[in-house]
Amino acid sequence: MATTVQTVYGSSTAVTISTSGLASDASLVAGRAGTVVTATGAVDYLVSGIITVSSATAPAAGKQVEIWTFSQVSTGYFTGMSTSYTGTDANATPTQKAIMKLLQAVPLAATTSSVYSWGPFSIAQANGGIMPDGFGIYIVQNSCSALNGASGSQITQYKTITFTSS
Amino acid sequence: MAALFTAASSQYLSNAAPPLNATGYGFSVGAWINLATTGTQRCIFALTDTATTNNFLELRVLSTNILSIGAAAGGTTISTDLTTAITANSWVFVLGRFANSIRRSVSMMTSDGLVQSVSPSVTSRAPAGLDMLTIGGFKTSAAAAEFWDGLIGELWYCNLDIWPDNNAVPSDSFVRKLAYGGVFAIPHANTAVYEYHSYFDDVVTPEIGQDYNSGPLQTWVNNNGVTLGTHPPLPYWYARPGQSKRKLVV
Repeated sequence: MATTVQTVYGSSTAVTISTSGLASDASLVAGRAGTVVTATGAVDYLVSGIITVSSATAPAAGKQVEIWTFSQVSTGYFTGMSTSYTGTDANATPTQKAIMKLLQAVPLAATTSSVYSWGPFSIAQANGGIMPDGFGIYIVQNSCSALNGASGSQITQYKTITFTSS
Repeated sequence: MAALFTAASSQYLSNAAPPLNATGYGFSVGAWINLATTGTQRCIFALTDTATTNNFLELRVLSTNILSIGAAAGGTTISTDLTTAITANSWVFVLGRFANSIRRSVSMMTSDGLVQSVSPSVTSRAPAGLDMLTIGGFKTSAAAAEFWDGLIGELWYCNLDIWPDNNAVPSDSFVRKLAYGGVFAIPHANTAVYEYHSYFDDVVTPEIGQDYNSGPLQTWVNNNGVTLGTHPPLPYWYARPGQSKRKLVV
């Protein structure tokens, strides 16, 4: 008898990352790193989100929001991150951003309050096919003004992926 | 890794039997570049005539740090240039379009998100006898020159003008797609690629999944020891040659 493998999606879970009002950085290094998500056996985590730009100042032409992921290497050590980052939601300036994993560079239109949906992106695929035991999301932007601070304007979330057979 | 060129050591790559025809047009070339030192004219990619000094098609960075296409056909060089300078030690995606003898255009996307293109040229330059392809250096009948200083990665060239209208500039979103998705993510172009080299594992030895030849294997010479350096940070969904499906995690 044939076995059917089905994908099971977990419920949407927020990644703790306070990007509401995140300041612009022209160099695209001073951003926000979320609290590390500890993997709990799921084969993959799909991350996605919503970004809303300032309601007061439109982004300048040719600006973007970058979404990166990094991994927990061992307790207190995270791919590319400075040692001041402890694994909890904080402003962060990576020491080696280039060795983190880029998920998306979202180009911005010169329009106030524009909303951008990004993802979903596979954390396992970003790490070569296997889930690391912990991962984080790092977001940085150079829109020339802080991101929108309204409630619900910034969302970063994940869904776990598991398989079931019947 | 990307190919790391040291100008002081006169390093460049050359192919003396290029798959492009002897008159060059039409083709497009794209790559990620990272320039270590600015202020000197440097070659990214050139198709030249080794019997003369003034028959060539070249994608280059001028001494003013401006991305440019140069074209000469036995006389004065016509330069088609962007306006925003490239800064040192920063990744930039570059696109050169050599559509036909009249229309040549260049675009770039800097790592902070700026996309810029220049309107196609309007002056004819129809070189002949083009028999040498070089990367990171410029070789005519004279000694090699314009050596690249820094990194070049994810380089490809294809046998068409990759933007369908040769009299227009590509959209910003198209340039971004090429930069972050790769040429193999562009359906009308991925079957027209002559060669693709990631320079991830090796400079001249082909690697499965990291290099691609549409026809006979091309022979590249590593002049004066081009090595490997850091690679541009690209998303995991960047399309590689032959990649028609994603990995299944079970």
